[in-house]
Amino acid sequence: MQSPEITRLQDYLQAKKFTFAVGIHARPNQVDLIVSLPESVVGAKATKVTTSSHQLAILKTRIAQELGLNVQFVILRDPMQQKVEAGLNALLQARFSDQISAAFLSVQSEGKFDVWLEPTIGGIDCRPLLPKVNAAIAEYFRVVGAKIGTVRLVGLEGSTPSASIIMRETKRLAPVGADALKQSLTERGSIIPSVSWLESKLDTLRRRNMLVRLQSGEYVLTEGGLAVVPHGKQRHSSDVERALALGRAKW
Amino acid sequence: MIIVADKLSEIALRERDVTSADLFGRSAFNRYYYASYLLTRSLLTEFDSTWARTPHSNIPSLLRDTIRKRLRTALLNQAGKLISWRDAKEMRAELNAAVEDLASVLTVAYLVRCIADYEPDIKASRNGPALELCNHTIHEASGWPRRAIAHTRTIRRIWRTLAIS
Repeated sequence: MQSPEITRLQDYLQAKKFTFAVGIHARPNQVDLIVSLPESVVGAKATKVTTSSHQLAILKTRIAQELGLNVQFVILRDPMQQKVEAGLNALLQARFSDQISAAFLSVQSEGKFDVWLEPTIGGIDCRPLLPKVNAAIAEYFRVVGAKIGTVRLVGLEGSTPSASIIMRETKRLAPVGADALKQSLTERGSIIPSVSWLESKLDTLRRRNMLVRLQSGEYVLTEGGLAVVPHGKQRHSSDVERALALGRAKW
Repeated sequence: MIIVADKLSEIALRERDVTSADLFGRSAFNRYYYASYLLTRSLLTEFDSTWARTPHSNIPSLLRDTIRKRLRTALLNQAGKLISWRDAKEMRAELNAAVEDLASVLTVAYLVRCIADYEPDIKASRNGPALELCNHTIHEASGWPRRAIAHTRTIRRIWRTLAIS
């Protein structure tokens, strides 16, 4: 027989038009209740078709205040997602095991699945094969009747530094020449193909008014450049790094 | 941690005795959660050492609110100047998907881990070939750290690309 607490909670959720619960069961102590929700209905924001973590937290507090019940929300992964994921892994293992070691899915708000591909460590670079992999995944999704979102490769870092990294390092060392900047970026783990490669990047930034090239050939950031480099009050802030670099240069 | 969890899971699935399967199984759920948590905590510590002390239950909202906001602000600030609008849009979509899935994994895993640790009356039990605790299979739990590895890597890459620290 269903406990009166479950009935009270069901009525309360119905009155609040909270229709996402797929199951409510009592813990053996009969004081707490567990409410199960499918993962697909928990989004970043609460809408007519989704709830959110924030909304669940508010609901939990209100239920405690108004009904005197302690509820815990348990989010269930869609069984369909688990099956599609297992099948996709089997397919990729059979056809692309040298390039892809694993795949998993995450749910988008419109019921589409984003696909995350984990490249095989030490395996063959899978980027040239991506069109083939994408085609195989799309075909598989069509056959199983699931909607596909975006296919992404996990963790492929660019070997050369981004413009933001070059700007940050220039800010730290300014005024700095291309040679010294190359050395510093290399010491910090970036791969710089050549000084001329770095100079072309610096020139692009100069043309965007992010940097100024001094007569000495050294670079400094413009006001606009300083505004776009992330800064803050933390220990790792670019402002603190700049101050420390100035201190080191002086002493 | 993942090796320990896999071993516990293997023992639980092999175990014929219901009580032993429950005990090994719930320990495996616990270890899978902690593996995911520690991977995420290591990312948070890299970004800001004070975040290492964030209570477990607050990590999903820290990811969704504070970290995503900081990255999105940097993206918006740099778009059209240091990175193209197209790249910024792609990075934003990738960031949203990674943060959302990591937060979701940690929310689910934390709830299951609390049940595994503090609710001995709710048993981990066999359902066909699977071992389940509160409708979550051990196979699903084994995916938590894998997802955490992938998503922390994605978030770290975006953080570094934007030179936030």
